[in-house]
Amino acid sequence: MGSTSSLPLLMAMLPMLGSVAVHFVGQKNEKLRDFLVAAISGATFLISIALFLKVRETIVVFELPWFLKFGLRFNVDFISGLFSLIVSLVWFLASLFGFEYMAHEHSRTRFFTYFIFTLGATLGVFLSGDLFSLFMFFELMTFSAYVLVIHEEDNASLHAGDVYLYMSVFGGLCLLAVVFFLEHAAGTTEFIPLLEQIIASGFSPWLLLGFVIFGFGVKAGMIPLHIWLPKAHPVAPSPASALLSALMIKTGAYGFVRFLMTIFTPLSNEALWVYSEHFGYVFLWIGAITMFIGAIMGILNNSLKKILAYSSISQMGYILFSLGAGTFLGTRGAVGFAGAWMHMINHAFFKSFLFLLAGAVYLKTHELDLRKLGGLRNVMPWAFGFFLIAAAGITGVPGFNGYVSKILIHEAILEAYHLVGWESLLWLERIFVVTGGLTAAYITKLWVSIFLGKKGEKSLQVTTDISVAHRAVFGIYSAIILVIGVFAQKMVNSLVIPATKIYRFDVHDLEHLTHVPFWHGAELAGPVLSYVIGISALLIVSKVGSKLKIPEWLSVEYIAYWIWHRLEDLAIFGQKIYVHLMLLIRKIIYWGAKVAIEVPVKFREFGRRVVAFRIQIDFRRFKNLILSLRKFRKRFEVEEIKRKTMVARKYFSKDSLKLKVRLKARSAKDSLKELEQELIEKIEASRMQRIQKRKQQKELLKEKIDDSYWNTINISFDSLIVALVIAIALLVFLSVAL
Amino acid sequence: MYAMIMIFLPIIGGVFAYFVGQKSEKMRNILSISIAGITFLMALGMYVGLKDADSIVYVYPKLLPPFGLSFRLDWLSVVLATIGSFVWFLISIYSLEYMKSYTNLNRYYAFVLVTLGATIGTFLSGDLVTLFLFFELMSLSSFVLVIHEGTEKAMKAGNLYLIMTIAGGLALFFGIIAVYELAGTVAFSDVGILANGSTLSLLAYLAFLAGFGMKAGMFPLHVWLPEAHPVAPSPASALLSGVMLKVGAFGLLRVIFNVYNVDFIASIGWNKILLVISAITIIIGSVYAILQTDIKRRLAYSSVGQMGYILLGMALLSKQALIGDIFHVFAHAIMKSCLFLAAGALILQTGKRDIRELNGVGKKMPITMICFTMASLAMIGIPPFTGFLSKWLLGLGALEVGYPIYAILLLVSSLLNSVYYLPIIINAFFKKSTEDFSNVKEISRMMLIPIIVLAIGTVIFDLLPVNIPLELSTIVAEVLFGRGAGM
Repeated sequence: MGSTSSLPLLMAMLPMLGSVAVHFVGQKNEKLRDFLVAAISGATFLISIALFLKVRETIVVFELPWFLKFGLRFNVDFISGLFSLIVSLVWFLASLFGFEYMAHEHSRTRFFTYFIFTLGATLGVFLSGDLFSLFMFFELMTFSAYVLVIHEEDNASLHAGDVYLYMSVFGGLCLLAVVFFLEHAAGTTEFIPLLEQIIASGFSPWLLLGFVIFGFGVKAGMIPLHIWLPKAHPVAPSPASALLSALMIKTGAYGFVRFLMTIFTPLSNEALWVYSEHFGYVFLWIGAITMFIGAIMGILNNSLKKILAYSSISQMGYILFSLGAGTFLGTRGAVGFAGAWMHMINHAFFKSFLFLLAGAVYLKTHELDLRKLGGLRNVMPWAFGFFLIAAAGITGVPGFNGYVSKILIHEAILEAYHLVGWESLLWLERIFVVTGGLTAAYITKLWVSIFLGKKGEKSLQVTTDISVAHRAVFGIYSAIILVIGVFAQKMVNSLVIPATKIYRFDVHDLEHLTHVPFWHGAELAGPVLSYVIGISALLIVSKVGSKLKIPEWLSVEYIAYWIWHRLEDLAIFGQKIYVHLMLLIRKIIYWGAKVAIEVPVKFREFGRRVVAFRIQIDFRRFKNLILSLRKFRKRFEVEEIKRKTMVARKYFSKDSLKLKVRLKARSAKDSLKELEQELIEKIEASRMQRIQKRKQQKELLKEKIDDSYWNTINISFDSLIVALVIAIALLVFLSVAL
Repeated sequence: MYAMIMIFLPIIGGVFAYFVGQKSEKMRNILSISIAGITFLMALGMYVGLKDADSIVYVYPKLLPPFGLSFRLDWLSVVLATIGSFVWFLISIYSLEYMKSYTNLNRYYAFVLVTLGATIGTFLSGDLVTLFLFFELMSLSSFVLVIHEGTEKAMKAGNLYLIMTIAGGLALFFGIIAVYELAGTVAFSDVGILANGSTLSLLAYLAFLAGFGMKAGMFPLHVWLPEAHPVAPSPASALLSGVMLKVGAFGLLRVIFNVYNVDFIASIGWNKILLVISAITIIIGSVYAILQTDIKRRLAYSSVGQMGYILLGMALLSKQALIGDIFHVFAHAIMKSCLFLAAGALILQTGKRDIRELNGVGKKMPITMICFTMASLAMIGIPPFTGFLSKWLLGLGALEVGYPIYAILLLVSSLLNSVYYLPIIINAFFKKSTEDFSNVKEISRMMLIPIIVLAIGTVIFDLLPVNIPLELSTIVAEVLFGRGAGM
């Protein structure tokens, strides 16, 4: 099945190997390097077009079986083909944008080297034919994107980079656990239905799902695994944050698609579709929570790129929500899957567009704080126009691309409600509608505060509009957004339906997809409702916004630190126990030593008495003998013995011995007291230090909403991980021991 | 005779080098490198002998009666001897430049060669008594390498090392006596010479665990390792961590597979003792490594954790895990010597050992740091580096015998590895330096070449169509599990 072609390998390897060339060329000639970057990403784009034309008819497979013993496998179906096309297109556009943007930055060659390398790794993720190859490219992508995140090399970006890197490594290892379990359970990690084998091997699919959620959820920015995202995306240079937000987090969604739609489905046993239903329901709620909280956080922030980052979280929520709806219905979930897929495509375009626009604004103003911007409409009319198009795209105005996928998602959740009839599904639909409104709110807030109103302090220095090259890039984006929006049904027919045909969906639903009521009155009312909700939400926030603050204990970070503090308390408690135990042991040793010194003394005393007594007896005998046998013997010998006895008695006298013992005991006691004092002082000092540190941290956390707070927090994240891991390790050993 | 030449060439050569060194330093250097090189070539030559038979045994009953010496060339010993002598050869080249600032070089080179001979002798020995002899010789001669700097700290660490070595040696001696009492012979055999569940047998097993485990850095006998490895000169610490730790693991492999019967061990469940100990070793080593700020101490604790992998691999008693185990012996030898050599280069050029003071050093010494990065990524187990493959095989092996908890443990340990290796790399490349590094230059070519070769070694084998170390590990595992016995 399928045709073999080395195009996928070429596509992944060309940028990876090309990055080496970029590195060396960049040290000689910057112009040539820029040209090379454009050439590599352009060539990759052309290859991806060729590949996409192929996969429209068949599946393209390619295998390097010797690679790392398990083989590198590419398996490109319509989904992989189309998305890698989008990836290379957006990358090409971002690199065109990047040349001018990066001109004033430092370490440009390093940036472009990793920029191009990340392209190869990301493409590899989408082209991989099994989970093992996917995992490998996933890790490469994580590490090379790290360099893009920390490009600024200041405290904020290094901190964000740490959070990003450790969370991603954690996610990667969860993914590796999945690879282990699948390889063990099924002997393969290819994307084929494996549910029966998983159940047969004795592992619970729920356990596996847990690992999958942690593995891909970190990348997908799923709440509560999202905390790296609003830190890392804003600190990266704009071209990089566009790619991070628009494409890299899609690798998480793509992984979920492969698992929920293929691996976690049964091959023949129809009864097992019940797992899909449960998993889908879980994802519906995960998606709903993610999109709602992301949108709320978006409204409450005041930094241009942070709002966009939270918006990405929210939009990923849409994708997971729709995917959940599709999975929930099993074979009837064609519309849900179509919504998720269409939104993945749309979000890739409008989010990278928005980030690049943010970059264009930043290039002129060098400011991201919305309160210091404003009134740019007259100076930057082009930017304003493009921004409106992107905004219309993301909020789902009819005729722009976001509308298409939002209608599909709405259809999907309503269909789920009609087919199953659970009350909770209706609530999910309401959350979806309200979130649509909130999206309109934060996007409106963005363009209103950048382009309308009074000129902010930083807008005054702006004199020129965006350059021609940037206009061209943005023009392509606008065209794509409009084409998808206007020719909605045609796009669904050509982009979505071939993708749904990969899976075993009900024919009836596929037919339904061919005539979605895009221009129906009720559907057209949706965006109006969104904007009504959005504007009113915005008005409310602007009125009470300064008073309205989310309680700090709601933030994930706060909870994490809270747990960390409790662990610290536990550690202090343990330390206290340890010290008291040590003191007790020392006391025991001290008493033991005392006894050990005193007992021989007592014995010696006793022995001395006995000896003295015996000497007396002997002496008497001796005397008698002498007296009886040798009366003439000299008297002084007797006196001599007497004197010796006296000396011995004096030496062994009770008092002098006691004094010795007492002196020894006193010095021991003193040193013990000193030691005790010293230890107590040490504990006290470290406790005070901790209290001080905690106070500082609390104060810092209170400034959470303030944009600059991540500049100041420097709790080391790795120590948190260490504590958690120790806890896990303890659990592991307890379970082994029991 | 081949084995004898291979063992005694470095030992006699070492003595010879000591006297040559008093005349001419250049001659001594050439001599030491060429002997290490010849040993490596001879190790390669041994594969010719293994074309037909899985094991060749030489017995010299007249040497050292009543037991006599005997040597055994089988796949396990040959593979380990190859790895060991290869790393030794590279480190000898590195030493030439690195050791220039030290005194007592004649003593150093002499004992490096003697230790090489003793290590090869341990690998090639055919019975427990011969193994014991060379094992002790290796321990004693490496003591001189540990205390080379002669500082108070080094002497203290050396004393600890010596005391623990002697205690371990006594435990081994007890084990050997017990085995002789029970089995009447001490020669290794393919199916083991002992399948006896008596108390004495168990005591002997525990004595072997203590004796070889001490050398392998097994918890709780690892305490000498983080003291002794950092105080030795960097090439010597690379030898200690890269090769000599493996001797302990090798001894345990011999005990489990060639002294006891492996099926017997599996049925009576004694491997579970080692299993739990290895799990604790992995966690303890990694957690303590995170707490270290001295770069070489961190590497030393990392060795403890990695030796835990190797102990785990043999304790699982699954063929898959054993392949991973042997492969990890190879991978760890390459990675850890690369790390120690690179760390030595950093210390030599900057004079700093504290990780917090090494910020920004990557911009000054890019090649060294890139090699360090490659080896660290291999340590963490990022594909396509070698560390990943051994972790993968060990994990699958753990699942195969029904211990998924150990597969998870490996992943937790990888996370911990990333927590202590990544900050070094990040600080070196991306943080601004707090110290004055304006005079710091890249090290000379003679030192760079061994580091680069080792760094390439962490990745090249996985990218080639035929993964030679993996193939060899597979053969070793098959032979140990009894290829002839119809497994």
